[in-house]
Amino acid sequence: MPFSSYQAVIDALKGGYAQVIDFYKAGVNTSPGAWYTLWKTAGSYPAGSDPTPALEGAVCDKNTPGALPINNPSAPNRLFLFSWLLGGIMGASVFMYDRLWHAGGINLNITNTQTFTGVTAPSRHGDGVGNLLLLEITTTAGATGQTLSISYTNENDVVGQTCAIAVPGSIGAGRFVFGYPQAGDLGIKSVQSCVLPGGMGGGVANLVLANAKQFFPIGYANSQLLEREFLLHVAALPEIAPDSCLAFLVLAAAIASPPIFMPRIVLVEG
Amino acid sequence: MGFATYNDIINALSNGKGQAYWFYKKSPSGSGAAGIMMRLWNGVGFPTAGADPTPALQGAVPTKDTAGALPIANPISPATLHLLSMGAVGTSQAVLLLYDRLWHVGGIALNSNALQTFTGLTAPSRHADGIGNQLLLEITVAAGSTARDMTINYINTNDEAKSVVVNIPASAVINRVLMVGLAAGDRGVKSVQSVQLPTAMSAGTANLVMFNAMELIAVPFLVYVYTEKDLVLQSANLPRVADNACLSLMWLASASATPEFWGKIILAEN
Repeated sequence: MPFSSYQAVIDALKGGYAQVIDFYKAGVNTSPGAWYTLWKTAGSYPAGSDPTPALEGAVCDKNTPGALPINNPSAPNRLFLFSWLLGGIMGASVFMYDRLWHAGGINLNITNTQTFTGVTAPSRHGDGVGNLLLLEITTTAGATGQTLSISYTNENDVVGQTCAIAVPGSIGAGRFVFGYPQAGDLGIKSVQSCVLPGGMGGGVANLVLANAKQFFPIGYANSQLLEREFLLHVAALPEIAPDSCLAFLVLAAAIASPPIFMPRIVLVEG
Repeated sequence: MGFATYNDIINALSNGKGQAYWFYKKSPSGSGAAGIMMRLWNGVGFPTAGADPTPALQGAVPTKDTAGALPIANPISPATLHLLSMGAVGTSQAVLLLYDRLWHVGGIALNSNALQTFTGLTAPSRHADGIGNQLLLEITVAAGSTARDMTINYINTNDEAKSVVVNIPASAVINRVLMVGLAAGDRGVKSVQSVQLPTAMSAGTANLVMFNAMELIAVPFLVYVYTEKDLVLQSANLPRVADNACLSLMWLASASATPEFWGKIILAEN
């Protein structure tokens, strides 16, 4: 049931409808201004892995290794992000997303069309609106930058739309590049294939269909702890879909290997 | 209708009446410099790049469905839509501004001293009373090397014909934004009729844009560190977003840079 008041939220928090999730995620070696995925980093819950076999799509959910362990709300309740507490060893930003679908083994050194098989669409956020792509580098790319063209179906079921991702030469494993719908599209419903105009000289990547959930700063200076409450502090109350595969990205501010320490996420249902 | 209490906002957010939009914008060509406002209307990313209005000197009213606008959903009448919070981060320290692009016209020649009269629509369909409506110039082709004044002729909120002079700096770079002050005593602009440079510049082209100050939201942030502004309790404002609003972004630079920006806005209807 929707919350009728702040008191109702308090009642839910103290009445067994809260999920308090304390966790730890190891960091990655970073460069300033670059985005990194934390999907495969170790921590207090299992690390994720690259999807296999190559080019076979799979839907991720809360039980997929790498997902933040959450419980679904009791129907007809809905689940919301209530607060977040986070610290790290440098100023940076963390981005939480719902990892809807992924496929691995994309060869960055061939020019053949690479067609995805198996499941090509997510089961959550199935209307595609707001869904975007992440190209996760799993083997460092060769020195020649190329633009990967990804063929997808948009929110209106128009097939053959193109998302162009400029992949920098020598981009390292652990980094990723965002991919956006083409002009006029509001999101991505499913992904069919991808192709490079030329080889990069090496490299392998995953393609991930994601739905953005929340940004969060890791302190305005090194080693600070920050918290956000998403009702009175910042009016937002982001909704978390049942079975969400919550995962994290980092926008690095310095050359460092930043462990994210003492993170706590509180979810509430109502 | 409005939100009678904060509980109404909580209820809306938890009852499917909230809207969350993640955005990404890459600053287009033309580096910013300290204290310089730059547009993101035509920056690639999500929402996709907006175009300069054509044909030259023909006014148009952009809406939520215009390429370049955040794809918001109108509230169900008689409800009204309000901006609850906004957050942003970028690869350069800056201030990001969100505004409703009410009306625009392109192809204003800066290398002409002729009176340039606008055709087609000369008034916005939102905020038609003009109260709070302001003007800005967008440089679309770099200006000549000698600063010149431009006279803008408009109708104010009292239906009086007024004019104002804006100085166009020498060599104003492409994508630079110049805010236009109104004539003394004026509370806003209802429509715009023409512009004229008494002395032509050697080069340059510009758009003229009308926006409403009530919907202008600024989020300052440090490089790489996500920052949010709550518009309910932190900064009591709760700006109403007009139906069909064309929400777009611009940025105030702190240094020479061509950065990328990410962020999120939260809206709710009552």
